[in-house]
Amino acid sequence: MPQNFRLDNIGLINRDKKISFKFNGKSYFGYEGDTLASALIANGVHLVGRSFKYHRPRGFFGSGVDDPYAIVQLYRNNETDPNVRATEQELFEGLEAKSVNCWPNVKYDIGAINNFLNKFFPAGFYYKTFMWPKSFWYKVYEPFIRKAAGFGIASIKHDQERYEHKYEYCDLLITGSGPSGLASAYAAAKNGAKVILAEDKPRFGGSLLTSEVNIGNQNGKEWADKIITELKEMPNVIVKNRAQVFGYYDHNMLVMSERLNDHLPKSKKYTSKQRLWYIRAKEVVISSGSIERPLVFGNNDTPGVVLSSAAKEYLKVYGVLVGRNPIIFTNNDSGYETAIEFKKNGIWPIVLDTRNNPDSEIIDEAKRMGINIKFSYVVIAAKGYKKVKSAEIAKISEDKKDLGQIENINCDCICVSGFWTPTIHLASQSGNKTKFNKEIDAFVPGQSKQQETTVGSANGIFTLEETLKTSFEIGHKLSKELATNDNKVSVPKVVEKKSSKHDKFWCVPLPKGKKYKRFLDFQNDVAVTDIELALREGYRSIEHVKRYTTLGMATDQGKTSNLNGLQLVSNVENKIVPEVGHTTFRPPYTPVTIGAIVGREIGKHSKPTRKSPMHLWHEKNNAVFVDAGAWLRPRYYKQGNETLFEASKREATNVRKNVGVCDVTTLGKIDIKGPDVAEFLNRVYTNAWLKLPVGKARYGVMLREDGIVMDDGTTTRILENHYHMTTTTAQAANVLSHLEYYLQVVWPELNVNVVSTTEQWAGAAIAGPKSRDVLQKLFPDINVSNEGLPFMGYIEGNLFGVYARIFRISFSGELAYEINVESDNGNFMWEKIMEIGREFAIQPYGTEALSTLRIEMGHVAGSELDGRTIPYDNSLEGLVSKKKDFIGKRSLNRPAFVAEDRQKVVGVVPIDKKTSIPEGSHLVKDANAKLPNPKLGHVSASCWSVEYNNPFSLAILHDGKNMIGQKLFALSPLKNKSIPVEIVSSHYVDPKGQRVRS
Amino acid sequence: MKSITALENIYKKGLFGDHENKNENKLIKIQERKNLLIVQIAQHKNSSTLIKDINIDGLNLTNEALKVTSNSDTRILWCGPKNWLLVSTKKDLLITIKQLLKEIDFAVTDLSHSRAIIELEGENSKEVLKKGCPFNFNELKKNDCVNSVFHNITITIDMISDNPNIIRLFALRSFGESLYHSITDACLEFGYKAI
Repeated sequence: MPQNFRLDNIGLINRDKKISFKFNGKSYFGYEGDTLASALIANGVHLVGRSFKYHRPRGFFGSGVDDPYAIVQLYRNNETDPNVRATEQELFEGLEAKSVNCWPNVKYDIGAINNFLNKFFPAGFYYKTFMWPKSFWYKVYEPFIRKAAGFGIASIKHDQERYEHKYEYCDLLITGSGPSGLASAYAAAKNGAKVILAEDKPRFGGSLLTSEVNIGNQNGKEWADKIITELKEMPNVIVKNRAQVFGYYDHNMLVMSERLNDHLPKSKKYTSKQRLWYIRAKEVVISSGSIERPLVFGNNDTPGVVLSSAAKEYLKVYGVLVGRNPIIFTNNDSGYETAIEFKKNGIWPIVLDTRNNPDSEIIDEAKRMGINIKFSYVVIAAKGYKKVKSAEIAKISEDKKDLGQIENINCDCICVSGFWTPTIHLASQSGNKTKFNKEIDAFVPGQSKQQETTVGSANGIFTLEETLKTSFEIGHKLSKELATNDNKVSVPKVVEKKSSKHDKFWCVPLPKGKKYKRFLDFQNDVAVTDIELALREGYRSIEHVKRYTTLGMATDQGKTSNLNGLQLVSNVENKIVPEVGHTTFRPPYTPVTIGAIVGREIGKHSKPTRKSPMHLWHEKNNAVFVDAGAWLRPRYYKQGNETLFEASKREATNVRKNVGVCDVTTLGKIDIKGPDVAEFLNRVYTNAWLKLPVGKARYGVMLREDGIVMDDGTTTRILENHYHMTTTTAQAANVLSHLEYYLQVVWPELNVNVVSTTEQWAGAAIAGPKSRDVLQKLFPDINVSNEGLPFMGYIEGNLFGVYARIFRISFSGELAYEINVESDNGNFMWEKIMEIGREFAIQPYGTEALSTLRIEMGHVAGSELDGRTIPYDNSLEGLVSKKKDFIGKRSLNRPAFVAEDRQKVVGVVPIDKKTSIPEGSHLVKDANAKLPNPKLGHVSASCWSVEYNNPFSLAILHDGKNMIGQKLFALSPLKNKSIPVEIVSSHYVDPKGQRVRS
Repeated sequence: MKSITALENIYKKGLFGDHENKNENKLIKIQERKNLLIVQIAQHKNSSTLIKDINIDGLNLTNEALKVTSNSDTRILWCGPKNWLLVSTKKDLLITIKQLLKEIDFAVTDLSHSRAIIELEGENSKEVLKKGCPFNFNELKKNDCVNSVFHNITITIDMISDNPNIIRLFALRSFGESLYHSITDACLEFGYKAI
C-alpha cells in the first residue's frame, strides 16, 4: 500500500529498513525511526481512538508526551500494554496496536451516542446523576462506571518482562537534550562535573531537529549531533535517551524511567524492559522545553486539528504530512515556520494569523514564498466528523469580540499555534514557587527551594541565542562550584530569525446561533461550557474546578489544556491568571508502568527470607513452612495426606509421650559481655540478676518504660563477664535496639557490649520425657542427670567433634534441652539428633505443635505479650522485684495497672469439649445481649489439647483472677460462632511445673 | 562431620547470564568466601587503653570512620566508634586477639559462622550493586567499608581493591540465599562467572 502522506528525501528515518506492523488488525508498513503515530499518519490513518466521555473521534494532536489523544493498546511479544502513546511508541517489526475506548471498532463506536446526548453529560454529571437512588450505586452505577472507565486493559497474565531499579549520583542532572540541555551539559562536563543528561525521545536535540537555525556554522541538528558525540565519549558523563525524568522529590532526588527495550520486538535476554533510576543530584538543570499551546475554536478536537509544532516535527523528522491541504491557525510566528516547511515541500498552506499585520523576518519570508496569509483571521470551527474536511473562518475585529462574514474553505488539517507554555512540572514538583510571566502569558519557575535551575524555553526564554548564552553560563557556573574547575567553553555564534510579539488571543468567540463545542481538555472532553458551568455553580478554587470538571486530569495531566483552562477561569472571574493560580504539579510527569515501579521485587525477590542452617533438611522432610517475620520456619512436617491439624496433633503428642526436636535457630540470641553485665541485666529485667551463678540460666521479663511487657526469654551466664540472652524470634531486633539505646544513651557509665549472635548459632530444642535419653547418647561424656544438669542449668559439650552449648530450658513444659552449635555445623547436629533419637521415637515438630505445647502449659508468648499487657496480666507478677529498680517499674504503679479487677490470662474450655474457639473471639456474659455487647476479654491463642483431647484456649480476661469457674460465651462475629465456655486456670497441663524439673 | 557453609547448598559454579561471546576477563566473578575468621572487637566505653598501641597481625585498629586497615590475610573494618570487625584467613588469630585484648577493656565475639560472604570482582561490580543499594558507589574507594542494604537485606560492604574492583559483601547468614539470588540476578545483564 503506498504511503500517500510520506514525502521522499526529508526526515531522519531509515528508509532502507521497512517495518511491518498492524493497527486495528490491518497491516501497514513504516520505517525504522518512525513512531507508531508517524507511520500511521504516513499511511493515511488519522482516526486513532475515541474520547473518554463523548466518544468523539480522536486523531493525533501532538508528536510526543504532549499528545492527549493517541492512546493505544500495544501488543508485543505475547504481552500487552495499555495506555501507550502512539506518538512516543517507536515502530518495531511485528508491532500490533489497537484503538481503545471504542466498541465494536474505532470507526463505528456505539459509545458515540454520548456525543449526541452531550447535553445530559455536563461537568459534574457523575455527582449529580449517581446520587440516587442509593441502592443503585453498588449494583448499577459502580459496575457501569467501572466498565466505562479507563483507557485500555491491563494484562492479567504474569508479566514475563524484566524491570530493574538503579541508584545513581551526579553533580548535575540535566533533564532534556534540547539546545539549553546540551549547552549546559557540555559546559558542565567540559569543566569536569559528573553529568547525567536525560532525553525522553530516542533522538537528541529537541527543537534543534526541526529549527532552521545556524550554530557555529552548522545547522541545529549537526551541532546537536556533534555535542552529543563528544559528551558520550567523556567518562564523567552519562547520556541517556528514551529516559524520562518524571519526578522531583526531596533532597534533590529525582526519578527517571528508562525504556531500554520498548522499541524492540523482543527484549534482549537478561536486560530490563525498563529501568527506574533514583538519581541524587547535587544540582539539577531543568531543560525540559515548552509545549505549544492550542487555540480554542469550534470542534477543535476533530482529527486533523494538530499542533503546528507537531506538524513540523512529523514533516522534518519523519517525512510525513499531517495533511495535503493545511490551514495554519496561529497567534504568533511559530505557525509560519510550519507553513514555510509545508511550502518547501510542495504544499500550499493558508495561514490565518489572529494578529493585525505583524512584522518579522519569518513573516516576510513566508510572504516572499507566496504563502497565502490572512491577518486578523480566525478559525471558527472545524468541519468534518472523523477527519477535518473544511473550516469555517472569519475575520475578527481588533478587540477580538466580533466576527466578520463566515467563509467555508476546504482543508484536510488545521495546524494550531497559540504560543508556548514552559514545561515547569519538575520545577514545581521541587517546591519552586512559580511566577506568572505576562510577556508570555505563562508560569515560569520563580524562587527555588531545592538545588535546581531552569533554562531555555522551560524558563520562558524563546530565542536560541539567549538560550545558549544563559545555558552555557549556568553549566559553567554550577560545575565550577561542584567540580572546582574553571574551564569555560565559548558560546558559539547563533544565526536565527527574530520573531514578532505574539497575540494573547486564544479562544475564538462563537458566532451568533452556533453551539460548537470548544474543547480545552481533549482527553477528558472538557469544553469551555463545562468550565463556565462549574464557575456558575460556585466553584472558585482552580483545584476544585479541576476535580469537578476533570480538566487537566488523566494520563496527559493537562499538558495542553491547563493554561487555557486558567485563562478561561480568569476571564470569567474577571481576574488575572496569577490570581487564579495553577493546580499542583505532581509526579509522574508522564505515566510510568507498574512493572518499572516494582522493579525486581517480584517472586522470590519480592522480599528477602531468612533460613536456618537446617532449612534444606526440613524441605527434604516435607516441612510446610510459615513466615515468622522474615524467617521461614517449619510449621509442620506432613506425613501422607495429613492435614495441618492432624500433623500438629501427632507431633505434639509425640513430644508429650516420647521426644521431639524443634529448630529454634530463629530465636534471638544476644551475646552480652563486660564487667557491668550483671548490673545491666538487673536494670533491664524485672527480676533480680546480680547473683546468677556461672553455668545457670534464668527466665526474665523486660518492660518498656510505660510498664508494658516488651519481651521475655532466658539469659545464661556463660562466664563471669559473658552472658547469652535469648529473645523471641519476633522481638530479636527490637530487644537488641532497646539494649543498645540504654547502653549508649541512658547508662553510658556501664561497660557492656551487646551483639547479635542469632546467626552464629544453630539451635535445636529436644523436648519430651525421653529427651534426656537422647541427650545422654549425644553427649556420652557428660552427666546429664538432674544433678549433673539441673533445670535452668548450662553446660558445654562435644557433639561428635563439634563444640556445643547445652541449655536445660523448656518452652514446651516438658523435660527439655536446647543445643546450640556453630551454624556451619547446624545440619550435622540436626542429623545426629535424628539419628540418635530414632530408637526413642523422635520426630521433628513445627511451630504449630510448639504452639499447642506452650498453650496448654499456659506459657505466654507473642499473642499475650501483645504490647498491651503488663506482667500481672500474664501471671508474671512473681518475677517483678519490689526491691530494685528496673525499666518500667514506676509505670507499674499507675492506677489502671494496680486496679483490683485488672485483666489476667486465663484458660478457656468449651462446655461441649468439642468446639474449637477461634482466636480473637470476644468473651461476653450474654451471647444475646444488645449490641454493643460488653466485652470482658478476648481469646489470645487456641489449640487442641493433646493432653486432654479437647479444645483449649488462652484468653486475657477482665478480672480474670476472680473469673475461674465462670461460664461465659466466646463470640466470633467473623466466623459467626457463639460458643458456651468455662473459664479455667491458664496452666491446663502440669500446673506445678514438675515435668520440666523431672 | 560435615560442616555446611552459608551458601553451599545453593552455590553453583559456572558461567551465567550474558556471557557468550564475551572475554571471560570482562565478566563479573562471584565467589563465596568461606572459612574466614570474623570477630567483632568492641572497646568498652570507659576503657583507657590507647588504640594506637594495639597491633593485631601487624595492623592497628583504625579510628577513621568507614575505613579498613589491611594486609594480605587480615582486614579490620571500622564499624562504629570503638567498634571493629576483623576478618582474616588466619583462623587461629582469635586466640591471639583474646590474649591481647583484656576483657576488662574489650568485648571480643567470634562471629565466624554468622555471615554469608560474597565477593564480586570485575569492572561492572559496582554497577551490579547500584541495582539494589542506594549507596553512592562512585565514591567507594579501596579500603573503604560501609553498612547499607541491597534489595532490603542489610549488608556490610568492604572494598578490597579498586584495580580490579573487588568488593566483599557480608550479610547475616540467614539472608545468604536471598542475597545470593539477588546479586546473581543483578549480574545476569553483564554475564558472570561463579568460581
